[in-house]
This record gives sequence, structure tokens and C-alpha cells, in this order.
Amino acid sequence: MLLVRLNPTRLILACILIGALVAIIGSLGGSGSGGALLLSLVFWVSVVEGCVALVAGAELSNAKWILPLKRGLLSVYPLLLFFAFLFLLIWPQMDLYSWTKEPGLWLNKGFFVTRSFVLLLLAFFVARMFARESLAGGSKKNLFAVIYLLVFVTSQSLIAFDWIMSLEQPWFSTLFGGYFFVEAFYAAIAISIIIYIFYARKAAGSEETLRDAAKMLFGFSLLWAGLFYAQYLVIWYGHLPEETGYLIKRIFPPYAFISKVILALLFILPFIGLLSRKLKTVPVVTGVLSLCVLVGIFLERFLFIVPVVEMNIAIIVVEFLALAILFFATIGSEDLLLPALPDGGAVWRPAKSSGMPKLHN
Amino acid sequence: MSPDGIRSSHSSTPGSGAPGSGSQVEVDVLAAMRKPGALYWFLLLVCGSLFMVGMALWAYQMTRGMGVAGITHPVGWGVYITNFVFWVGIAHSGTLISAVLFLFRAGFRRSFNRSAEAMTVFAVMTAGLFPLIHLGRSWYFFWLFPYPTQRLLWTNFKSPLMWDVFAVSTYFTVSAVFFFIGMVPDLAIVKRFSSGVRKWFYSALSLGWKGSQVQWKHYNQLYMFLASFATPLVVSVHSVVSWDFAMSIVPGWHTTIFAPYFVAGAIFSGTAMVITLVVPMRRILKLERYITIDHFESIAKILLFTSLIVTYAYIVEYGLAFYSGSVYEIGIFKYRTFGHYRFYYYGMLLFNALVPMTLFVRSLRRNLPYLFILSILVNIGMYLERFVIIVSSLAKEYSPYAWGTYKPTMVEVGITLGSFGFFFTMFLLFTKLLPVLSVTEIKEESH
Repeated sequence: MLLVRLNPTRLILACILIGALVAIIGSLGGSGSGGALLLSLVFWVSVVEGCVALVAGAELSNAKWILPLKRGLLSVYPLLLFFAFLFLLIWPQMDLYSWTKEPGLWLNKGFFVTRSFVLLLLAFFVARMFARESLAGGSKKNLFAVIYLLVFVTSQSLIAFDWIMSLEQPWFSTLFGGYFFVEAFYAAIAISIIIYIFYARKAAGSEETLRDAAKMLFGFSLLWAGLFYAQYLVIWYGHLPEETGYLIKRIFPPYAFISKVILALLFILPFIGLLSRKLKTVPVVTGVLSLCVLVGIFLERFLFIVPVVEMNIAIIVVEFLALAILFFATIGSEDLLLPALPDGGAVWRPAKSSGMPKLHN
Repeated sequence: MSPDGIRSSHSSTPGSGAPGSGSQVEVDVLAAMRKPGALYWFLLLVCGSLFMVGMALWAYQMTRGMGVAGITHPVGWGVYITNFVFWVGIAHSGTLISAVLFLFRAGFRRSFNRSAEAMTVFAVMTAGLFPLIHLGRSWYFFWLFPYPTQRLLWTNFKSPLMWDVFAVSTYFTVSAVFFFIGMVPDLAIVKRFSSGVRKWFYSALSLGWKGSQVQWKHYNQLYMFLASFATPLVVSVHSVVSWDFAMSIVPGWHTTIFAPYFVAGAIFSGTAMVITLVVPMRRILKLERYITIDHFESIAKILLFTSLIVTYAYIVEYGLAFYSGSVYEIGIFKYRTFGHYRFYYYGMLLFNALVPMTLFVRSLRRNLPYLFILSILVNIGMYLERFVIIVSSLAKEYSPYAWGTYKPTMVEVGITLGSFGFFFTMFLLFTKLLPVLSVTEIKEESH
């Protein structure tokens, strides 16, 4: 799974290379490059912010299952800094938002880019402080966890309202922000299972970590379905033309099939697949279902954008692959920009004597 | 304790002890059930009287007609519906504390789960009164249920009010079963220490519980099943209650965030009510050893967490009303801020969003008098929230021609106070008739 091992220098180089690639694609002026960049950011920012938020939430609720996965999840936080600067590349492509023709107090180019950039930077700095404090077992970890979660919720909500919802302005849904940050948690749980399978299986020692993570994935599949239904039903029942237009564009052809696939990937498959107690500890099943969830979230974000913005599939694939490699390479380089563990890494790595880790202090 | 095995067979077996002997926890919990003192009788008299006054006013309303209530065009839903939503909300913490925290293996639930479950059942019973009171001709309540009739009439399944009937009755059934099942081993303990009629009563309720290995095995499976079954119900009930409003196209009501916002608000108010009830109960019944400050700190964190979700919903609703550019949406939120009900709105913001922020301070989370006062303020705030949502949106809907205001009459206020009387009467009876703590779980924790 580990393709590239990164050190801080390599990480910076990788980020510059990918940034340059995205900038070149954008400057060539190819149709759909703006939409592809928006999709990449909307997906990967959620995943990365969600990974740190999952640890913060677990830390505050004294959850033990996260311990073997904690370092892997926290290791991706440096990418938030990269995403903050990558987001600036959207500036020349802002015409994908119709409101740029008639800017208002809230929706105008300058304020839009500034607030998003500042929030991403803030998320990075707070995530950094939290990650270091949490791994060092510092006394301020709970304080930073709370601050991070507040920034995370604000950031994800504004990503939902600003980046996506405003594509269809004046359509609005008050649930959209909450829907996004719950999905970010959902994605992070799927990532935690992948981390367990490929990076932390031996360190975890027992199947209980996987079982607990799978239970969380199961629970979030229900929560996701509840939120999806709460939004869908209110719009459908209200039957107001200014609201239903959003749904009609997405659940009827040409996107009818993809919307059904998303429903299957994000609810039906994880729900049915993880009902069984035994299957929750089968790595192949949980791994595949985690991938289903991640693909489902990516497709759903694609579906949010594609009816109103021109997309180029080739650019989407290139950018997605580049960012996916960067993401997993960052997880694989677990010491990157993170402090050494106080116990010498027993939580993360197998103990030398018995091959079994100490999960709980 | 884990969700996979609530209490192992190695834990106490209530049926096996000799009569009159028992562990300290048994002695302490049973002591709470002894003959009540003067204060108890006084409180019961006050609450019972309040309930009777409420019943008398309801009878008065039925004989004189709905004109004695303040609800009329355009505000057809007033404090009766506010009370309904408020009491269904209060009912939420029981299942949250019992089922959800059980699934999350949060140990502090043991101090609160029995009281919270009892509160749930009584709160749903109280809530169930209000649709009947609001009906006017309450004796036709059975029209709400689908049944074969000569006139081939059928209930309107498209109406969210109909969904309420099913959601609330399902929630009540499951909550009552969950409450009862969780109590069976403890009832066997009470039986062991009882005599005469009381022994017969608890013997019947404990269903022949002996505490054998087979019984524990089945009990654990059933408890786990009920906890898993009850958890989605917590979400579904208040989602459906929120849809009573959100399915309409009334400004301020028709909004997608309502379901999770109402669920969080319900857990918020229910948790506050648990604190309101358990703080004095712990002191009066001398249960300080079992309900510790640490436990209160944990439940205060839930209060803070749900307060933050509710605050988030307030901000998003307000912000997006202005984002939308819709004159109706903007109009209703301006009306809430500057209109007739503005002080209620400010009260709601103060008690639900601002004051609970003080719980970020650890010493305040551990200060019981402060928590007690805060929990009462939160309940006032949540009542105001429901009132503001319901009344302000109806008072100022689309057409200025149809605008109007609403003021509850003394009959409505009296019936509302009567509902509080009913709820507290039931809770007082519970504290003397049933074990207020889960003895077997506490014993298992200490083993």
C-alpha cells in the first residue's frame, strides 16, 4: 500500500508538483478544469478535516478504539495547508459561480476566497496544535480538540454553503452544512478502517478495533440515511418549484442511475453488509465497504456539481489520483511533522517482545 | 459491562440471597423506598393538586368549547402544541441515556438511566394528553387511529399529524418495555426485602426472576436488542414531530434542518430535566455514593454538546434566511427579533445558547447548585423556543391581511401547569414505588 515514503522536503516537493499540475491544467483553459478542481477540493478537504475531527471527537469522549489508528489519522493534517493554497487556484475560474455577475455582500469574489482561505489555514494550524498535543499526551489536548471541532464544523458548513450550495443560488437548504460535516466524519471512519487494514493491523493486536470501527461505519450509514431523508422529504413534500428544481436535476435522467448508485454505496451496502456481527471483523468486507463509502461520497459530490458546472472526466481522474497518492503516502509516513510518541510508539507499532501492542495506557 | 454481555452470570444473583441480607447498594436503594417523610407528602400534595386543577380546566374547556382557549385564527397552534413538543422532547433523554450511552459503553449512565427511563415514560404520557386537549372534542380521539368503519373512512396517512400518532405511540411502547425489562432483576431484589401486599406486588412484577445463568443470558440478549431498537426511535420520533411543522410551507417552519435540530433540542431539554430531577433526588434519598460529581460532569458535557448543536441550528437558520433573499424568510426572522415575541426569542437565545456555554468551565460542570439552576433555565429556554417557533410563524405568515397575535388564556396556562403537576406526581410516585437506581448494574460495576 505504501507507494512513496515522504519526509517533510519530499512532501513540500510533492505538493508543489501537484499544485503546478493543477495550475497548468487550469491555465490551459480547458473546459471543466474549474469544476474538477472544485470537486477535488470538496472531497479531499472533507476527508482530511474529517480524519482529524474523528480523533478529536474520540479524544473528547474517551473512546479507546481509536488509539491504534490515531497516529495514522492525524498524520494527514499537513495536507490542509496545501489545500489552502490549492484553493487559491480557483480564483481565475470563479465564473463557474453565476453570482459573480451580480455580487452581493456575502457572495462576492474577494470575500468568498478570503474567508475560505483563512478558514483552511485556521483548520491547519489548530489541527497541528491538536495533533501534536494529542500524540504527546499533553494536558491541553481536550482544549485543542474542542477548538478544532468548532473550526471543523464552521469550515465544513461554509464549504457546503459557499462552495457547493451557492452554485445554485438562490436555492438553499439549511441542512446542507450539517450534512457535509457528518459526511466528513463518515469518510474519516472509512479511512480509519483502511488504515487498520493496511497500516495498523498488527499494532492493534485484536479484531476489536476493527469491530468498533465497523460499528461506527454502520451507525453513520444510518445517520447519513436519516439526514439524506430529512432533506429529501422536506423538499419533496413542500413541492415548491424553487426547491424541487435541485432534486429534479439530480434524480431524473441523465443522473438517475448515479443517484441510485450513491444511495446504494452510502446506505444500502454498508447497512446490510455490516448488520452481521461476524462480517464486522472480516477485513475484506469492511475494507470493501469503506471503499464503497468513499466512492459514494466522491460520486455524491460529483453529482452536486455536475448538473450546473461543466466537468472534464480526464482532469478529474488525474487530479483525484495525484491527491489520493499524496494522501496515502502521507499516512504511510507516519512520523511526518508529528512528534515522537511518549511511549516510544507502542500505541502505533507492535511491541518488540511479544508482537502485541499496548493499546491502553 | 459491554453491550455484548450486560451482566455476567457471575454478578449478583438476586434470588439467591437470604431474606433481609443484602449488599450496601441494595440497602441504600431500598432505604430510598421506605415510608416517605413530610416533605414528600407536601410535594405530592402540591403536584397532585396542580394536576387536578389542570384536569378541572380541561373539563371546563370541554363543556364550554374551545373558545375559552386563546387559539384562534391565524394562530391555531398555541401552548397546547408547544406543550406537546416540549414534553415529547423531555422524553428523549431517557432513551438516549439508557440505550445510546449503553451502546457507546458510557459507564456513567448507571447513575441516571432508571430516573431517565421513568421520566421518558411519564413525559410521553404527558405529551400524549395534549393532542387530545387540543382536539376540542377529545372523546373522538379514536378517529386518529386507522380502523374499519361503516362509512369507509380512513385516516389521512399523508398528514404528518398522523405520522405523529404512530411515532409517539411506538416510542411510548418501546420506552415502557425498555424501562420495565431493565428493572426486572431489581424488582426481584425488592421482592426479597418486601412482605405482605408489597411482596405480592413485586413478585408479580419481577416475572419469576431467579437470576439464573439462563435468565441472564436471555436478559442480556433482550436488553441489547431493545437498546439497538430504541436508538433509531429517539431520532425518528422527534424528526416526525419536527415534520409537523417542516412539511408545511409556513416561513420559519419549512426548513430542512428541522429534523436533526429538533432531535438535538429534545435531547438537550431532556438531559436538562434529568439534572433538574436527579440533583434533589440524590440529596433527599441520600444517594451521593452512587451518583457522583463525576457522573454529573459527564452529563453536563452532553448538555453542552447538545446546546452547541442547537446554537449551530439557530445560526444557520438565521444566516440562511438572509442568504436566501426571500422576503418571507427574512420577514419572519426579523419579526422574531423585533416583533411581539422578541423577549421570548431573546430568552431562548440566552438560556439555550449563551448560558450553557459556561459549561466549558470545568468547575461549573462540577458545581451541583449551578447545574441545577442551569438545567431549569435550559428547560425554560427550550419551552420558549417551541413557543417562538410555533406562534411567531403563524402570527405573521404570508399575507399581511391575515396577520395576528396570540396570548394564552388562563385556561391554557392552568392546563399547562396541570401537565407539570401530572409529570412530577408520577415521578414522585416512582421514587417511592420502584428502585431509583439500577442495583444490579451498580453491583456489577463494583465487582
